[in-house]
Amino acid sequence: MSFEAMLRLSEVLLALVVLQTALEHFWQGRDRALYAARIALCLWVLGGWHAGIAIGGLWISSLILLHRFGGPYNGGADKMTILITTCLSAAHLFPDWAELAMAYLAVQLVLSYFVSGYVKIKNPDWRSGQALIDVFRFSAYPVSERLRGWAGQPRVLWLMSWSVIGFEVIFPLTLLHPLALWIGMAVAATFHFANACLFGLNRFFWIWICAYPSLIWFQERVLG
Amino acid sequence: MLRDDQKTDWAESHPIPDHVGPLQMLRRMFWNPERNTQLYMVALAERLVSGLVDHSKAELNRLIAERLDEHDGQLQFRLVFMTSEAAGITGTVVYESELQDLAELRA
Repeated sequence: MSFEAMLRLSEVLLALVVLQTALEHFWQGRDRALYAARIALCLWVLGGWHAGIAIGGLWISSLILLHRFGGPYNGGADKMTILITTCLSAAHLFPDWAELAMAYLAVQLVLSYFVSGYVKIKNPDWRSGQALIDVFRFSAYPVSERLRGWAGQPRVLWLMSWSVIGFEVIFPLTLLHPLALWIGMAVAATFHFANACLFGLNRFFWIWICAYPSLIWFQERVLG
Repeated sequence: MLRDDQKTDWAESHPIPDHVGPLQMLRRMFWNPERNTQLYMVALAERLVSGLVDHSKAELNRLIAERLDEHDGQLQFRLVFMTSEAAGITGTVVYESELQDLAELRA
């Protein structure tokens, strides 16, 4: 994938994801002026005319939203949105450093999996499956009361725990071969999809996929 | 808790549904405002007990009041954090807000 194609694909995916979240907020009737501006900026990016300016506008409005909500509205999904917006803004603002900005995004994406897996593997509750049992048993995260029944399936949750840990710590190795990377991204997307279905974290699924083009380009550029 | 000159029991705000089917899960991939509000409220509760009190309290009051638009009176909320202990799951009240006029919150 060429750098230009990766940059444009990342912009379009980001605009579609931010548009979806902005429409949700606008529909709920909260902070409508700000979200109307974000909707307009997303349409501007999709139109493709000097998209860098609109990306910069999205970056500024993201900072305003951070202040408005006293932090991220949607945790890690918002942080990843800001990271992608920052890297794309930097790529437009400093063309000589554009590759470095997008490589930074790719490395952060790999670290998002590896560090998460490393933290889990160090935690005895994750190694025994107890952490996931607790998540289903009494945390605020399952999307329905019926899903709490999964807490009574310790063997299934132990297997799920180690599947997640294994994929996360191994993920950096997928950079060694293009096919391995595609398989790794498919597994990662499946993981995010499961989180979206079980815990309602739909924004994580879409925004993490936004960063995948940078990873495909990075693998080709550095190791291809 | 709502008061129209009479005290009512505590009621869970923004409870999760009993069941979410596969089609609904799929639809939520594209349109999920209710659930995202719930997740924001969880973050606000954690921030409130971590010390970011004023903003988190104001936001929680606002979001709970939005759900009570047909009611008058006053609103009070509390945060109950769950932990797993040898005896089972225990809920501990970690915060209780002061009474707020619903009309004031909606203004």
